[in-house]
Amino acid sequence: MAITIQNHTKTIASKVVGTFVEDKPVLAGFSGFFPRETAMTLQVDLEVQRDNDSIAVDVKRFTEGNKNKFSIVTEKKFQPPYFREEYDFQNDEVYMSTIALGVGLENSNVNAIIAQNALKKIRKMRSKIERSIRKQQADVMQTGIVELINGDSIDYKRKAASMVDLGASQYFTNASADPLASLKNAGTFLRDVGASSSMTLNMVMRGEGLAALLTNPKFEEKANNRRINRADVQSPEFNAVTGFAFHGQVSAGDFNINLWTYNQKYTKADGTTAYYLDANKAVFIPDDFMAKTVFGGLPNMVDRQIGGENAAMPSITEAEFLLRAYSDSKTMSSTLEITSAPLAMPITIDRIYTAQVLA
Amino acid sequence: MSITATQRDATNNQSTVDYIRKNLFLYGVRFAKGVLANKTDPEASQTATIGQLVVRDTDTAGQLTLATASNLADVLGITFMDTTILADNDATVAIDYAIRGDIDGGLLQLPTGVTLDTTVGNKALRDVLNDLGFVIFAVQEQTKIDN
Repeated sequence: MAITIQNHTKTIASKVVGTFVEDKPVLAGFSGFFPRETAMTLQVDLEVQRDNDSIAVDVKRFTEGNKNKFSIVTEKKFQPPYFREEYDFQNDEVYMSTIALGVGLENSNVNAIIAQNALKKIRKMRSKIERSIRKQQADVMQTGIVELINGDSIDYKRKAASMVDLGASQYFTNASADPLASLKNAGTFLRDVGASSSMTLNMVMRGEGLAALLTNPKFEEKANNRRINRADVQSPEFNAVTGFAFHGQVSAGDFNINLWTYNQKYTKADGTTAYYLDANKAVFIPDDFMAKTVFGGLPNMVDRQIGGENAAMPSITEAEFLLRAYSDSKTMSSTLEITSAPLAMPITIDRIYTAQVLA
Repeated sequence: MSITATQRDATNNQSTVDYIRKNLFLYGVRFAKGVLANKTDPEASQTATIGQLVVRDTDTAGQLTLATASNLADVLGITFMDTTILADNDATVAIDYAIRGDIDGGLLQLPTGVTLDTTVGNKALRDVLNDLGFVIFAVQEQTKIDN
């Protein structure tokens, strides 16, 4: 006999032996390359002065020296996107979500648990925003364009030469391709154009890219050489904080390249699943890459005294996230809101290299 | 000395401005005061700005006019002033002008068709300026506008 809906009345036929409220963690991803900084302002600026890489020319003693000027400065101004996630915590929410999940029936401190339950919802909303930050960081690494839905996408103007398609002949899946030559090209760009002084690069890709690399005949040939050790590929070491897995180190040209995979995903607003990193791309980041995750000022309401009277006044709060709660006593409803204005912002824009390594 | 600001890549969420600072006068520059007059013929408005060459106004004692390709031998200084439009003939403006010192030759505003190597009698224009006491340098820019 099939289980009927009446059987779900647990006092009759069953016992709750466990509860599971899924809480998917948001791993750090590229966040280690984007340390956080808050600002009080709506917009944030980046001041840039380029270097012509000139060489000095000797002069004859006691004659005029070479005159130099440093007269060009570029100011880049950005307005971070604004995120506002709301959760309406109402009377029925208490019954349906909290008590129905079994957290209140036998607990004398039920009201505290209800409040904690509300806090969990806030944490989940914050996780949504954190995923958007991870997406921004991955956008910077792959295209240099932070995609916005209700704003103008922010284009950091990466050089075309920093985003290459290796082409069918050099895709890692091609038996005659030489992946180490492509890795060397990445390091050469980062050193020559990006002015990176780091000889160690981090190559971050999806599992598909790594699988193609490890099975590429030319790569295998060099990795298997027992007399010249230019590749040390190991069992994966998963980092539970970043979500990256380390697979070892290879050398290409002058560069040592750490091999990482990053296979974390998220669910888009339309319900489809997407990965932060494209399956066919690999990004190369030197150790001296600099970037920030900047949080713009957040609009808020604060109580102020105006002429001896208390009044709620608009204000700006400098914070990564701002939690606000507003309630209506008659309808016993409360809205919990979390806001944030984050922007992943590269500083050394030419110290990122992206290659399409698969078709 | 001036700063120009050029905006690019402007959207609702980003904007880039390139600032370029121009320092014509570098070292040991001495100045004199004068009155610059518009002496265009045929009559027209005239824009005067920093870095232009000036000669004496032979019609009015004590006044200056902007040098042209035909009177480079008479150059006596280089303007140091805010950009001004002299609306019509005989319109004047009080200015400072440099009479000697180290200058960035690349920032001079020479008359149309004139370069520092333009022949003036048996000399080049740069020799004329040297004779006045200007030392002309090709100052090397060490920065650039990029992405």
